[in-house]
Amino acid sequence: MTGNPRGRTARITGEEASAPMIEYPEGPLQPQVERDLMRRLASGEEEALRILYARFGRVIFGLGLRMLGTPESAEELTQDVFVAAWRKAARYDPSRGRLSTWLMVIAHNLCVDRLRRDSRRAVVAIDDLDDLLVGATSGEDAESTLLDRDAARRLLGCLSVPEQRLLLLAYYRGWTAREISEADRVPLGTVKTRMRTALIKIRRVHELKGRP
Amino acid sequence: MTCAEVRDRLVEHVLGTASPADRHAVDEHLLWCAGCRHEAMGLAESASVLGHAAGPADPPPGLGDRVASAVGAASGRRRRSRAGVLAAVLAAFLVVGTAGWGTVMAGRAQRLEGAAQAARDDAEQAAREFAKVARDIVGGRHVSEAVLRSESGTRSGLALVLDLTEGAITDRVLVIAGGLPERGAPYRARVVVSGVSLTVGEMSSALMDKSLAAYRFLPGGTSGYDVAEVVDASGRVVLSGRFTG
Repeated sequence: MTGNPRGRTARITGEEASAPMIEYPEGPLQPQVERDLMRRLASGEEEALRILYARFGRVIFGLGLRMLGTPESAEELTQDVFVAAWRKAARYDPSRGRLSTWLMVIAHNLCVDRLRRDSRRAVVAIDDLDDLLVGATSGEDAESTLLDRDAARRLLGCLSVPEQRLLLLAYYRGWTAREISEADRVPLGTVKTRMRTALIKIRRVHELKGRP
Repeated sequence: MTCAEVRDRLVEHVLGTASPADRHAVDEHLLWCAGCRHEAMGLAESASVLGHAAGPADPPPGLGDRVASAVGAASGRRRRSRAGVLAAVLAAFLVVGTAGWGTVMAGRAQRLEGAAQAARDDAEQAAREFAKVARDIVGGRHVSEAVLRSESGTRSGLALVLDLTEGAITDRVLVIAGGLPERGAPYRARVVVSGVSLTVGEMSSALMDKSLAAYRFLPGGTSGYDVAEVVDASGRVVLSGRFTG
Protein backbone atom coordinates (compact mmCIF):
# COMPACT_ATOMS: atom_id res chain seq x y z
CA MET A 1 0.00 0.00 0.00
CA THR A 2 1.29 3.42 -0.82
CA GLY A 3 0.15 6.71 0.55
CA ASN A 4 -0.07 10.21 -0.78
CA PRO A 5 -1.80 12.33 1.82
CA ARG A 6 -1.24 15.55 -0.03
CA GLY A 7 -2.13 14.28 -3.46
CA ARG A 8 -5.27 15.03 -5.36
CA THR A 9 -6.10 11.37 -5.50
CA ALA A 10 -4.98 8.30 -3.65
CA ARG A 11 -4.41 4.97 -5.30
CA ILE A 12 -5.41 2.21 -2.99
CA THR A 13 -2.96 -0.44 -3.92
CA GLY A 14 -3.37 -3.17 -1.38
CA GLU A 15 -3.31 -5.89 -3.99
CA GLU A 16 -1.70 -3.60 -6.56
CA ALA A 17 -3.17 -4.78 -9.86
CA SER A 18 -6.76 -5.36 -8.80
CA ALA A 19 -7.09 -2.53 -6.30
CA PRO A 20 -9.72 0.10 -7.03
CA MET A 21 -8.87 3.74 -7.54
CA ILE A 22 -10.39 5.94 -4.87
CA GLU A 23 -10.59 9.63 -5.55
CA TYR A 24 -11.27 12.30 -3.01
CA PRO A 25 -10.72 16.03 -3.02
CA GLU A 26 -7.52 17.57 -1.87
CA GLY A 27 -7.62 19.24 1.53
CA PRO A 28 -9.73 18.52 4.59
CA LEU A 29 -12.65 16.15 4.24
CA GLN A 30 -16.18 17.34 4.87
CA PRO A 31 -17.68 16.14 8.17
CA GLN A 32 -20.19 13.90 6.41
CA VAL A 33 -17.42 12.30 4.37
CA GLU A 34 -15.41 11.74 7.54
CA ARG A 35 -18.43 10.17 9.25
CA ASP A 36 -19.08 7.85 6.32
CA LEU A 37 -15.44 6.87 6.19
CA MET A 38 -15.43 5.96 9.86
CA ARG A 39 -18.66 4.02 9.54
CA ARG A 40 -17.10 2.03 6.74
CA LEU A 41 -14.06 1.43 8.89
CA ALA A 42 -16.23 0.33 11.82
CA SER A 43 -17.97 -2.16 9.58
CA GLY A 44 -14.61 -3.66 8.64
CA GLU A 45 -14.06 -2.28 5.13
CA GLU A 46 -10.39 -2.50 4.35
CA GLU A 47 -10.76 0.10 1.65
CA ALA A 48 -11.74 2.67 4.27
CA LEU A 49 -8.64 1.79 6.26
CA ARG A 50 -6.47 2.24 3.20
CA ILE A 51 -8.00 5.62 2.46
CA LEU A 52 -7.30 6.70 6.02
CA TYR A 53 -3.74 5.43 5.83
CA ALA A 54 -3.12 7.17 2.52
CA ARG A 55 -4.33 10.41 4.00
CA PHE A 56 -2.91 10.34 7.51
CA GLY A 57 -0.23 7.64 7.57
CA ARG A 58 2.72 9.91 6.87
CA VAL A 59 1.59 12.48 9.42
CA ILE A 60 1.21 9.84 12.13
CA PHE A 61 4.50 8.20 11.22
CA GLY A 62 6.16 11.62 11.35
CA LEU A 63 4.79 12.30 14.82
CA GLY A 64 5.95 8.89 16.00
CA LEU A 65 9.40 9.44 14.57
CA ARG A 66 9.67 12.81 16.24
CA MET A 67 8.42 11.66 19.64
CA LEU A 68 9.79 8.13 19.87
CA GLY A 69 13.03 8.63 18.02
CA THR A 70 13.34 5.52 15.86
CA PRO A 71 11.66 4.31 12.65
CA GLU A 72 10.89 1.00 14.34
CA SER A 73 9.01 2.68 17.17
CA ALA A 74 7.24 4.99 14.73
CA GLU A 75 6.16 1.98 12.69
CA GLU A 76 4.77 0.21 15.75
CA LEU A 77 2.99 3.38 16.74
CA THR A 78 1.43 3.76 13.29
CA GLN A 79 0.07 0.24 13.42
CA ASP A 80 -1.27 0.78 16.93
CA VAL A 81 -2.97 4.04 15.93
CA PHE A 82 -4.90 2.46 13.08
CA VAL A 83 -5.89 -0.57 15.15
CA ALA A 84 -7.13 1.83 17.84
CA ALA A 85 -8.95 3.92 15.23
CA TRP A 86 -10.69 0.81 13.95
CA ARG A 87 -11.73 -0.19 17.48
CA LYS A 88 -13.09 3.30 18.23
CA ALA A 89 -14.50 4.04 14.77
CA ALA A 90 -18.15 3.47 15.69
CA ARG A 91 -17.91 6.21 18.28
CA TYR A 92 -16.31 8.82 16.08
CA ASP A 93 -18.53 11.91 15.95
CA PRO A 94 -17.48 14.68 13.55
CA SER A 95 -19.47 17.23 15.53
CA ARG A 96 -16.97 16.74 18.33
CA GLY A 97 -13.87 17.45 16.32
CA ARG A 98 -12.17 16.85 13.03
CA LEU A 99 -10.94 13.45 12.03
CA SER A 100 -7.36 14.67 11.78
CA THR A 101 -7.56 16.00 15.34
CA TRP A 102 -9.12 12.76 16.55
CA LEU A 103 -6.37 10.67 15.00
CA MET A 104 -3.65 12.95 16.28
CA VAL A 105 -5.05 12.69 19.81
CA ILE A 106 -4.98 8.90 19.55
CA ALA A 107 -1.44 8.97 18.17
CA HIS A 108 -0.17 11.44 20.72
CA ASN A 109 -1.73 9.63 23.68
CA LEU A 110 -0.17 6.37 22.51
CA CYS A 111 3.20 8.11 22.16
CA VAL A 112 3.01 9.57 25.65
CA ASP A 113 1.92 6.23 27.10
CA ARG A 114 4.86 4.56 25.40
CA LEU A 115 7.32 7.16 26.59
CA ARG A 116 6.12 6.74 30.15
CA ARG A 117 6.12 2.97 29.93
CA ASP A 118 9.58 2.81 28.46
CA SER A 119 11.00 5.50 30.73
CA ARG A 120 12.40 7.19 27.66
CA ARG A 121 11.05 10.59 28.37
CA ALA A 122 14.26 12.32 27.35
CA VAL A 123 14.26 10.88 23.85
CA VAL A 124 13.55 14.28 22.42
CA ALA A 125 15.66 17.02 23.95
CA ILE A 126 14.08 20.42 23.93
CA ASP A 127 16.89 21.74 21.73
CA ASP A 128 15.89 19.17 19.14
CA LEU A 129 12.50 20.79 18.93
CA ASP A 130 13.78 24.14 17.76
CA ASP A 131 13.36 23.19 14.15
CA LEU A 132 9.63 22.87 14.77
CA LEU A 133 9.64 26.62 14.98
CA VAL A 134 11.55 27.25 11.78
CA GLY A 135 9.41 29.48 9.69
CA ALA A 136 7.18 30.12 12.67
CA THR A 137 7.91 33.79 12.70
CA SER A 138 4.44 35.07 12.09
CA GLY A 139 0.91 33.86 12.62
CA GLU A 140 -0.28 36.21 9.92
CA ASP A 141 0.36 33.83 7.09
CA ALA A 142 -1.10 30.75 8.71
CA GLU A 143 -3.00 28.69 6.21
CA SER A 144 -6.25 27.08 7.05
CA THR A 145 -5.25 23.47 6.90
CA LEU A 146 -3.69 22.00 10.01
CA LEU A 147 -2.44 19.07 7.99
CA ASP A 148 0.18 21.35 6.57
CA ARG A 149 3.37 21.35 8.59
CA ASP A 150 4.38 24.83 7.57
CA ALA A 151 0.95 26.20 8.39
CA ALA A 152 1.11 24.54 11.81
CA ARG A 153 4.54 26.02 12.45
CA ARG A 154 3.35 29.45 11.42
CA LEU A 155 0.46 29.10 13.85
CA LEU A 156 2.98 28.37 16.60
CA GLY A 157 4.66 31.59 15.55
CA CYS A 158 1.84 33.53 17.17
CA LEU A 159 3.24 32.46 20.55
CA SER A 160 6.07 33.96 22.51
CA VAL A 161 9.22 31.86 22.82
CA PRO A 162 8.45 30.94 26.47
CA GLU A 163 4.94 29.89 25.47
CA GLN A 164 6.27 27.76 22.63
CA ARG A 165 8.73 26.11 25.01
CA LEU A 166 6.01 25.33 27.54
CA LEU A 167 3.78 23.61 25.01
CA LEU A 168 6.62 21.73 23.32
CA LEU A 169 7.91 20.43 26.66
CA ALA A 170 4.47 19.13 27.53
CA TYR A 171 3.47 17.79 24.13
CA TYR A 172 6.74 16.28 22.92
CA ARG A 173 8.46 15.35 26.16
CA GLY A 174 5.39 14.56 28.21
CA TRP A 175 6.33 16.90 31.02
CA THR A 176 3.41 17.60 33.32
CA ALA A 177 2.56 21.11 34.43
CA ARG A 178 3.84 20.19 37.87
CA GLU A 179 7.19 18.99 36.49
CA ILE A 180 7.61 22.19 34.49
CA SER A 181 6.61 24.19 37.54
CA GLU A 182 9.29 22.51 39.63
CA ALA A 183 11.95 22.74 36.93
CA ASP A 184 11.31 26.41 36.24
CA ARG A 185 10.47 27.29 39.85
CA VAL A 186 7.26 28.88 38.74
CA PRO A 187 3.96 28.35 40.60
CA LEU A 188 1.89 25.48 39.24
CA GLY A 189 -1.12 27.71 38.67
CA THR A 190 0.99 30.09 36.61
CA VAL A 191 2.25 27.27 34.40
CA LYS A 192 -1.28 26.03 33.80
CA THR A 193 -2.53 29.51 33.01
CA ARG A 194 0.30 30.12 30.55
CA MET A 195 -0.34 26.81 28.82
CA ARG A 196 -4.01 27.58 28.54
CA THR A 197 -3.36 31.08 27.25
CA ALA A 198 -0.99 29.72 24.62
CA LEU A 199 -3.50 27.16 23.37
CA ILE A 200 -6.24 29.79 23.21
CA LYS A 201 -3.94 32.07 21.22
CA ILE A 202 -3.42 29.34 18.65
CA ARG A 203 -7.15 28.78 18.43
CA ARG A 204 -7.91 32.45 17.96
CA VAL A 205 -5.36 32.90 15.20
CA HIS A 206 -6.68 29.78 13.53
CA GLU A 207 -10.27 31.00 13.77
CA LEU A 208 -9.30 34.36 12.31
CA LYS A 209 -8.01 32.53 9.26
CA GLY A 210 -11.23 30.57 8.96
CA ARG A 211 -11.88 26.94 9.46
CA PRO A 212 -11.37 24.89 6.31
CA MET B 1 -15.89 15.83 38.87
CA THR B 2 -17.34 19.34 38.56
CA CYS B 3 -17.05 21.56 35.51
CA ALA B 4 -14.53 23.77 37.33
CA GLU B 5 -12.40 20.75 38.19
CA VAL B 6 -12.60 19.49 34.62
CA ARG B 7 -11.64 22.82 33.10
CA ASP B 8 -8.68 23.02 35.43
CA ARG B 9 -7.50 19.73 33.94
CA LEU B 10 -8.43 20.26 30.29
CA VAL B 11 -5.10 21.75 29.23
CA GLU B 12 -3.13 18.77 30.49
CA HIS B 13 -5.81 16.50 29.10
CA VAL B 14 -5.37 17.77 25.55
CA LEU B 15 -1.60 17.91 25.89
CA GLY B 16 -1.57 14.27 26.93
CA THR B 17 0.07 14.84 30.30
CA ALA B 18 -2.94 14.17 32.53
CA SER B 19 -2.73 11.20 34.86
CA PRO B 20 -4.66 8.11 33.76
CA ALA B 21 -7.20 8.70 36.54
CA ASP B 22 -7.74 12.32 35.52
CA ARG B 23 -7.90 11.37 31.85
CA HIS B 24 -10.63 8.86 32.58
CA ALA B 25 -12.59 11.20 34.85
CA VAL B 26 -12.45 14.03 32.30
CA ASP B 27 -13.47 11.72 29.47
CA GLU B 28 -16.46 10.58 31.48
CA HIS B 29 -17.46 14.17 32.18
CA LEU B 30 -17.13 15.19 28.54
CA LEU B 31 -19.58 12.49 27.53
CA TRP B 32 -22.47 14.43 29.00
CA CYS B 33 -21.27 18.03 29.49
CA ALA B 34 -21.62 19.96 26.23
CA GLY B 35 -20.02 23.13 27.62
CA CYS B 36 -16.83 21.45 28.74
CA ARG B 37 -16.81 19.35 25.57
CA HIS B 38 -16.89 22.49 23.44
CA GLU B 39 -14.00 23.92 25.43
CA ALA B 40 -12.07 20.68 25.12
CA MET B 41 -12.61 20.54 21.36
CA GLY B 42 -11.11 23.98 20.88
CA LEU B 43 -8.10 23.22 23.04
CA ALA B 44 -7.62 19.83 21.37
CA GLU B 45 -7.54 21.43 17.93
CA SER B 46 -4.88 23.83 19.16
CA ALA B 47 -2.90 20.94 20.65
CA SER B 48 -3.12 19.07 17.36
CA VAL B 49 -1.25 21.97 15.76
CA LEU B 50 1.71 20.93 17.87
CA GLY B 51 1.48 17.44 16.44
CA HIS B 52 1.20 18.61 12.87
CA ALA B 53 4.25 20.81 13.36
CA ALA B 54 6.32 17.62 13.47
CA GLY B 55 5.55 17.23 9.81
CA PRO B 56 4.97 14.08 7.80
CA ALA B 57 7.69 11.52 7.21
CA ASP B 58 7.95 8.78 4.65
CA PRO B 59 7.20 5.43 6.28
CA PRO B 60 9.17 2.34 5.29
CA PRO B 61 7.92 0.42 2.26
CA GLY B 62 5.06 -1.92 3.00
CA LEU B 63 3.96 -0.29 6.23
CA GLY B 64 0.50 0.29 4.80
CA ASP B 65 0.10 -3.41 4.18
CA ARG B 66 1.37 -4.20 7.66
CA VAL B 67 -1.16 -1.75 9.09
CA ALA B 68 -3.91 -3.49 7.13
CA SER B 69 -2.67 -6.84 8.38
CA ALA B 70 -2.60 -5.63 12.00
CA VAL B 71 -6.16 -4.35 11.79
CA GLY B 72 -7.22 -7.48 9.94
CA ALA B 73 -5.67 -9.66 12.62
CA ALA B 74 -7.37 -7.70 15.38
CA SER B 75 -10.64 -7.86 13.47
CA GLY B 76 -10.26 -11.59 12.89
CA ARG B 77 -9.56 -12.25 16.56
CA ARG B 78 -12.61 -10.31 17.50
CA ARG B 79 -14.82 -12.05 14.96
CA ARG B 80 -13.67 -15.49 16.05
CA SER B 81 -14.09 -14.63 19.71
CA ARG B 82 -17.47 -13.09 19.11
CA ALA B 83 -18.62 -16.10 17.16
CA GLY B 84 -17.76 -18.36 20.05
CA VAL B 85 -19.38 -16.15 22.63
CA LEU B 86 -22.41 -15.58 20.46
CA ALA B 87 -22.94 -19.31 20.08
CA ALA B 88 -22.76 -19.79 23.83
CA VAL B 89 -25.09 -16.94 24.57
CA LEU B 90 -27.55 -18.04 21.93
CA ALA B 91 -27.51 -21.52 23.41
CA ALA B 92 -28.33 -20.05 26.79
CA PHE B 93 -31.12 -18.01 25.26
CA LEU B 94 -32.64 -20.98 23.52
CA VAL B 95 -32.43 -23.14 26.61
CA VAL B 96 -34.08 -20.43 28.60
CA GLY B 97 -36.71 -19.90 25.99
CA THR B 98 -37.68 -23.53 25.66
CA ALA B 99 -37.06 -25.09 29.03
CA GLY B 100 -36.90 -22.34 31.60
CA TRP B 101 -34.10 -21.21 33.81
CA GLY B 102 -34.13 -24.38 35.87
CA THR B 103 -32.31 -26.38 33.22
CA VAL B 104 -29.72 -23.83 32.30
CA MET B 105 -27.12 -24.88 34.78
CA ALA B 106 -26.71 -28.28 36.35
CA GLY B 107 -26.95 -28.36 40.10
CA ARG B 108 -28.85 -25.12 40.32
CA ALA B 109 -32.26 -26.35 39.27
CA GLN B 110 -34.01 -25.72 42.51
CA ARG B 111 -32.80 -22.19 42.93
CA LEU B 112 -33.26 -21.25 39.30
CA GLU B 113 -36.75 -22.62 39.15
CA GLY B 114 -37.88 -19.68 41.23
CA ALA B 115 -35.92 -17.32 39.05
CA ALA B 116 -37.56 -18.81 35.99
CA GLN B 117 -40.98 -17.81 37.18
CA ALA B 118 -39.75 -14.36 38.07
CA ALA B 119 -38.11 -14.08 34.69
CA ARG B 120 -41.33 -14.85 32.92
CA ASP B 121 -43.13 -12.24 34.96
CA ASP B 122 -40.57 -9.52 34.93
CA ALA B 123 -38.43 -8.59 31.94
CA GLU B 124 -35.97 -6.68 34.07
CA GLN B 125 -35.43 -9.67 36.26
CA ALA B 126 -35.13 -11.82 33.15
CA ALA B 127 -32.37 -9.62 31.85
CA ARG B 128 -30.47 -9.85 35.11
CA GLU B 129 -30.84 -13.60 35.18
CA PHE B 130 -29.75 -13.84 31.58
CA ALA B 131 -26.69 -11.75 32.37
CA LYS B 132 -25.80 -14.16 35.16
CA VAL B 133 -26.05 -17.09 32.79
CA ALA B 134 -24.04 -15.33 30.11
CA ARG B 135 -21.33 -14.47 32.61
CA ASP B 136 -21.27 -18.00 33.94
CA ILE B 137 -20.93 -19.41 30.46
CA VAL B 138 -18.51 -17.04 28.81
CA GLY B 139 -17.09 -15.01 31.68
CA GLY B 140 -16.97 -11.28 31.83
CA ARG B 141 -18.23 -8.39 33.81
CA HIS B 142 -21.26 -6.21 33.95
CA VAL B 143 -20.29 -2.72 32.73
CA SER B 144 -23.46 -0.71 32.91
CA GLU B 145 -27.20 -0.99 32.73
CA ALA B 146 -30.24 1.11 31.95
CA VAL B 147 -33.64 0.40 33.46
CA LEU B 148 -36.23 0.86 30.71
CA ARG B 149 -39.38 2.73 31.55
CA SER B 150 -42.48 3.68 29.63
CA GLU B 151 -43.74 7.25 29.43
CA SER B 152 -45.83 6.59 32.52
CA GLY B 153 -42.70 5.57 34.42
CA THR B 154 -43.49 1.88 34.63
CA ARG B 155 -40.37 -0.30 34.71
CA SER B 156 -40.52 -2.54 31.67
CA GLY B 157 -37.11 -3.96 31.03
CA LEU B 158 -33.40 -3.57 31.15
CA ALA B 159 -30.53 -2.82 28.79
CA LEU B 160 -27.19 -4.30 29.75
CA VAL B 161 -23.65 -3.76 28.58
CA LEU B 162 -21.54 -6.79 29.32
CA ASP B 163 -17.79 -6.76 28.97
CA LEU B 164 -17.03 -10.30 27.97
CA THR B 165 -13.49 -11.37 28.68
CA GLU B 166 -12.78 -13.68 25.84
CA GLY B 167 -9.95 -12.74 23.53
CA ALA B 168 -10.32 -9.30 22.04
CA ILE B 169 -14.01 -9.05 22.88
CA THR B 170 -14.98 -5.70 24.24
CA ASP B 171 -18.65 -4.88 24.47
CA ARG B 172 -22.01 -6.29 23.82
CA VAL B 173 -25.35 -4.62 24.34
CA LEU B 174 -28.38 -6.61 25.34
CA VAL B 175 -31.85 -5.13 25.65
CA ILE B 176 -34.74 -7.08 27.12
CA ALA B 177 -38.19 -5.57 27.45
CA GLY B 178 -41.57 -6.82 28.58
CA GLY B 179 -45.22 -5.83 28.62
CA LEU B 180 -45.28 -4.34 25.14
CA PRO B 181 -48.54 -4.69 23.18
CA GLU B 182 -48.49 -6.67 19.96
CA ARG B 183 -50.04 -3.81 18.01
CA GLY B 184 -46.80 -1.86 18.19
CA ALA B 185 -44.65 -4.65 16.81
CA PRO B 186 -42.10 -5.02 15.42
CA TYR B 187 -40.13 -3.24 18.10
CA ARG B 188 -36.54 -2.19 17.64
CA ALA B 189 -33.93 -1.48 20.27
CA ARG B 190 -31.27 1.17 19.93
CA VAL B 191 -28.61 2.72 22.11
CA VAL B 192 -26.99 6.12 22.08
CA VAL B 193 -23.23 5.80 22.38
CA SER B 194 -21.25 9.00 22.80
CA GLY B 195 -24.10 10.89 21.21
CA VAL B 196 -24.43 8.55 18.24
CA SER B 197 -27.59 6.48 17.90
CA LEU B 198 -26.89 2.85 17.03
CA THR B 199 -29.47 0.21 16.23
CA VAL B 200 -29.23 -2.88 18.38
CA GLY B 201 -31.74 -4.77 16.32
CA GLU B 202 -35.30 -5.91 15.96
CA MET B 203 -36.61 -7.39 19.15
CA SER B 204 -37.49 -11.03 19.00
CA SER B 205 -40.25 -12.61 21.05
CA ALA B 206 -39.18 -16.17 20.40
CA LEU B 207 -36.44 -16.19 22.92
CA MET B 208 -38.16 -15.72 26.20
CA ASP B 209 -41.71 -15.93 27.46
CA LYS B 210 -43.48 -12.59 27.60
CA SER B 211 -40.24 -10.76 26.90
CA LEU B 212 -38.57 -9.35 23.82
CA ALA B 213 -34.86 -9.36 23.36
CA ALA B 214 -32.32 -7.84 21.01
CA TYR B 215 -28.58 -7.74 21.22
CA ARG B 216 -25.46 -6.90 19.25
CA PHE B 217 -21.74 -6.48 19.66
CA LEU B 218 -20.34 -3.00 19.47
CA PRO B 219 -16.72 -2.11 18.81
CA GLY B 220 -14.87 0.24 21.06
CA GLY B 221 -14.31 0.60 24.77
CA THR B 222 -16.67 0.10 27.62
CA SER B 223 -17.70 3.67 28.22
CA GLY B 224 -19.86 6.19 26.48
CA TYR B 225 -23.18 4.40 26.67
CA ASP B 226 -25.77 7.09 27.25
CA VAL B 227 -29.31 5.89 26.64
CA ALA B 228 -31.16 2.74 25.61
CA GLU B 229 -34.49 3.00 23.81
CA VAL B 230 -37.15 0.73 22.37
CA VAL B 231 -39.17 2.13 19.48
CA ASP B 232 -42.34 0.71 17.97
CA ALA B 233 -43.11 0.11 14.31
CA SER B 234 -44.00 3.77 13.80
CA GLY B 235 -40.67 4.88 15.25
CA ARG B 236 -42.17 6.19 18.49
CA VAL B 237 -40.02 5.72 21.59
CA VAL B 238 -42.05 3.52 23.92
CA LEU B 239 -39.36 2.68 26.46
CA SER B 240 -36.19 4.45 27.40
CA GLY B 241 -33.59 4.48 30.13
CA ARG B 242 -30.26 6.12 30.88
CA PHE B 243 -27.24 3.92 31.46
CA THR B 244 -25.63 4.01 34.85
CA GLY B 245 -22.21 2.60 35.62
